[in-house]
Amino acid sequence: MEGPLRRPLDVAGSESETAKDGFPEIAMSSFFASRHMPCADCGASVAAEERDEHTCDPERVLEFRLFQLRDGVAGFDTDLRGYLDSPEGRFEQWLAERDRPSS
Amino acid sequence: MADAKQIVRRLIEEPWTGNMHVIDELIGPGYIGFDPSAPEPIRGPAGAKTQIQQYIDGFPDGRITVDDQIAEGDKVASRWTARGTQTGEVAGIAPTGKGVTVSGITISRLDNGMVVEEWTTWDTLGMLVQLGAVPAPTQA
Repeated sequence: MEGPLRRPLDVAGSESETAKDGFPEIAMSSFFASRHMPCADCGASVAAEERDEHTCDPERVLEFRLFQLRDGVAGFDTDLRGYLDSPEGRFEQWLAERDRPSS
Repeated sequence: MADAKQIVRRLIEEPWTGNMHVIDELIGPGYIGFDPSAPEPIRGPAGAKTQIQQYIDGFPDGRITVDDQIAEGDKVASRWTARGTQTGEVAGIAPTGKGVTVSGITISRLDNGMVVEEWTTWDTLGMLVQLGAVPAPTQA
């Protein structure tokens, strides 16, 4: 059955508001805190004792951000085609063609 | 007959390296597994495959490493660590791209060179916290 309760819980970046030093501030910390936590900037799993020394790998940061933007990236072509097919998009294409310098 | 610890180690580690056949090879037909993350006991090789596959789908780059083992009688206790990046849906949580590390202990009972019963306890809450699925209330 499809419905709101069956939708996957989207938690990506949900703790960013409480992020501190690149790591989410864990609630109930006196009761429960995981020894490993993902770095808020690159997503790497980092042990508590390694947090101070952790440095993000720039490639991993890029991969992590692209992963979180994947829906937008995947939808770009569809959105562009839709725009180019709209009256505004058709006009923009006509204008660009008209203004293109002749070689 | 292969060493009991080695049998259990292969069963825990190898499905995560792409060898799902190891389940048919090393799990007995009457297998029953108990895992707090599974609402019902896991039954037979098919049940074990389903249980493992749902986590492999969620963490396709995941790996489990057996860190320590103790054997006594027909049982083997294994302490293990699982690491992976959540690029698929798991436990209803949409892919986050986050790395997760959790540990667990599995006690396996063997009969005639095959695993026939298992009790696993692992850091389910730790996984949920690391994925951000457990709300982070403000600290007092």
